[in-house]
Amino acid sequence: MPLILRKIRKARWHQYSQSYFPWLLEDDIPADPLGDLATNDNALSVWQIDDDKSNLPRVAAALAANCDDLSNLDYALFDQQVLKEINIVIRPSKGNSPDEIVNQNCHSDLVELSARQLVNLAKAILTHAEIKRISEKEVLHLLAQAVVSGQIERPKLRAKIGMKIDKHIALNKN
Amino acid sequence: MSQKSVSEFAVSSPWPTETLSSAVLPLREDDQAEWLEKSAAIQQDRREEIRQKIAALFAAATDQRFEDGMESEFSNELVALVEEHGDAAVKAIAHPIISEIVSAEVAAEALRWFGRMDHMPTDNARLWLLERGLFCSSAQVRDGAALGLAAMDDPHAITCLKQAIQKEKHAALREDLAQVLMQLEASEQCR
Repeated sequence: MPLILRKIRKARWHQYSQSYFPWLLEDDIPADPLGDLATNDNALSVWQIDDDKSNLPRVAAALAANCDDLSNLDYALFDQQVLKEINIVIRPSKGNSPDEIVNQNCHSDLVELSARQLVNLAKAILTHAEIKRISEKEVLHLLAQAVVSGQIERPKLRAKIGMKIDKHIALNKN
Repeated sequence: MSQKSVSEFAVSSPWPTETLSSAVLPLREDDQAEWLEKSAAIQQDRREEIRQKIAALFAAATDQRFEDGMESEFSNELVALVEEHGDAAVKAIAHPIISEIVSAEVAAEALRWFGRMDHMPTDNARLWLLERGLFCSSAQVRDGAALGLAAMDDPHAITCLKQAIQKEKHAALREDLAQVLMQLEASEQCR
């Protein structure tokens, strides 16, 4: 079963304990992680990653290419089975990144989401997900590779990222 | 690169130095005193103006949503303020962050952009603030400081980072700090 990736801000998902938030009731979670689960039409955009994570670098590059500027990329990665356990429906849909292959093959929406399901999803992510960071330097490298290999067309990048990628590619040519 | 403490960040004069010296020299003692008084008053007004701008910026930021790699009204204005007012702006921004009187989310966002912005005249001041941010009580702010230092990529932060790693209680954050340390050590070797 494939894995599900959602772009997050890692600092919002640190495994906060009750000692950190004494006001937090048992079996409850802090509200900040929900900021990374903003829905649109009761749907949440996610990306599908192969079991062996072979397409993870390409999806990460596609996500980074959608930004205004280079940055680290934080993500939560969890088994799709988790969605079944909390009765969340997943539906393949076209993604919105500068990589058309990734858009067609790796994007889905979690649909018909209720507020309760969203909280359950946050809890499931806190419990089951691998929460990782790709550093800004690694992101630069991944993006440059994606541009050089033609996975991402250079004109689709925004100005600041485009200039940094050009510089990185030129430096590595010499 | 020498490091400064916040108290050492002098608010720069509104006039170029050469204009000042040529203006001061021909003045009589009484006139000089009056001129210095006016100059101090202007600097005080300027500090107050910066302080008010920053207070408004932080107040407006609480309604904004931040995402990695995405600019915001907050980040654009923050960068513009530092470019316009230099160290004086960094000093004024440092106060609410270090005193932890702004939300952790906003403070962390400010630190990320302090590391990312390209403005050599404030390099020392921003580096100092980022290093100081590593020891704030909020894990989110410490994370923002670490990301800012990674973006700045200045090996001068290595000592501070090592201290922060030793002190860090959050395992996940400790790993991220170690990742930044490795990056800076690699950068140091390349220089």
